[in-house]
Amino acid sequence: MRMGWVCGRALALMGLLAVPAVGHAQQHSAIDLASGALAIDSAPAHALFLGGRFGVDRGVLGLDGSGSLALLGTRPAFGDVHLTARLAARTGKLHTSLFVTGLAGGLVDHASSWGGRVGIRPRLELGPTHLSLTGALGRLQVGTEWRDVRTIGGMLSRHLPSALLTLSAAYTTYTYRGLVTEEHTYHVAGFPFVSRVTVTGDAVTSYFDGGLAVRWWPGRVSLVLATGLQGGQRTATRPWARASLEVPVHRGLHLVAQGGWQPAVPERELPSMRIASIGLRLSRAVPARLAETDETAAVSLVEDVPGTLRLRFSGVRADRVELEGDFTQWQPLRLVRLTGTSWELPLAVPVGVHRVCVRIDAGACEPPPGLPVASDEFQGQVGVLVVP
Amino acid sequence: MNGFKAVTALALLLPSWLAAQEPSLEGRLDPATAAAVLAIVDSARADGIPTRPLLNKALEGAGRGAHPERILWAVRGLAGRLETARAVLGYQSTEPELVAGAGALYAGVPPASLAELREAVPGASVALPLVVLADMVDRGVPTDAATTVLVSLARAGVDHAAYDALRLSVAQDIRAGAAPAAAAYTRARGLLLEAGRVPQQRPPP
Repeated sequence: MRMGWVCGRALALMGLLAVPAVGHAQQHSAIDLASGALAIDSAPAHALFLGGRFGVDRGVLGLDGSGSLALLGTRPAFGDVHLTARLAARTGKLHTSLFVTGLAGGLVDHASSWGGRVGIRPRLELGPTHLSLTGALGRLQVGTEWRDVRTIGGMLSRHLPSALLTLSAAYTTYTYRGLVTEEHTYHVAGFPFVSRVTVTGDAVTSYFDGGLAVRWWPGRVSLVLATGLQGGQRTATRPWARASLEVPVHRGLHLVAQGGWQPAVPERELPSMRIASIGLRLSRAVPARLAETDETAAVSLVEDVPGTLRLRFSGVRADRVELEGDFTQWQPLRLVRLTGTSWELPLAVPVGVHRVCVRIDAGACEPPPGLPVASDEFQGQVGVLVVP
Repeated sequence: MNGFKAVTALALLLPSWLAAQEPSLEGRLDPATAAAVLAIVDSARADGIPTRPLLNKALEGAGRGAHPERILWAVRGLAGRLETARAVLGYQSTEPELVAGAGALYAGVPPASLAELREAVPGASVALPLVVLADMVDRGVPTDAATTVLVSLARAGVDHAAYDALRLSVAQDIRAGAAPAAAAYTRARGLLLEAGRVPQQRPPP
């Protein structure tokens, strides 16, 4: 009963978070609708998956939210909502963020959970290679019990021209603390008395999780492959793996197929599960305007080889940057990442007056920062690049 | 090392050369719209108007998912503005100058301003000054003020960096709340002073 209530709230919260995000998010947002199979403890069932996520960045502040719900028929099987607020600061190559996460949800017929955590994540950006550490403390209420959770982890990622490699590891310990109320009835002189005693039990347990992920985007298709190993004091060491493929069907509409073995979340009593699904993703990626990605965002023409001018963008924090314009025949051309926020067009720019726009993380095509802006006559704007 | 540079330059120039070829509408527009665009292009070619900007405009519209009628309207309009720009700037004008001139006309710059700019620097390219003129007008600088400023800079023979500096600083001033015309005059005067092209003001009597 309680789980139904939790999942219902999860769905409502998800709707509250995701729907406005589609209209107003400055970075990205998406709503997923998928059909597939869900198997927990080797019990397969057909499921309808609903999901939503959004992310907003405003200067040093950021907000991310996500929600998911699996329905078995009309009955919720699993629901989950996360909301994270971030405060970020940058000093040279070191980017540090403080975050606070709230979460709620769980699995039907298992204990529901809700709680939150705070943490710090310093990230060192060494060109296309980023190294980050995460330390977090949190408290989770699971059913009638609660746990203090401590996590420390690290991630090494490397950007390639059309791929992102990520190696991650995390170690989590949590103190299990159960509260059990025992009732004893006894009689004194024939009268019944009820005694309630709360017993507190403590136990510390831990587990590790390590994985390798490859995100590859040949053309407009995006493919993610991830695999890893999880094990600990209360769970057997077992591998997990998952894959997802995203293919654009129409503007803002993507076909998404995914499947694999999801690792467990022991402190939330969520078991590992197998999932396979195919569905549609409705996304309105409205990334932060280029000029807002960094105060120093700029376009420059570089003549590193005599007689050839190359277009460089700096101060653009993104996973993917594409340029469209007259000299690409208005076909998207992916820029190559030079360093963390610096990008280059792998094409010499011909002499002339060119109308161009830039697309960040599959968002809307917008005038690049620092260029004169003109109407595109199609209710949008373009930048005007003059190459002398 | 020189061999490496030559190979690198070739690798960069080859796609650039490919990009410089006349764009193809094949597969980008429906056959009826493509035929209508090509009819406009053929007519423009017969009049000696550059055709690549027209094909690019059609591709831009296709890329934006615009309605075919809207694409044809934009291509026809651009052909007309290119013709006007050529008539005003002269038949010897380069394609970049005509493209910039057509863009300025679309932004609301009158043909007389284009002619004034051409007269100021008859032997030099006016492509960049025209782009900056259109940008300033788009940002709210009155046309006559923007024209006066850019003609002054063109006559002073300032370099490309000065035009960029003017555009960026005027945009910054307007964002900060300055009156557009005042921002344009003030910034242009600063650039002309730097270039030593401002006549000394007479002291008050």
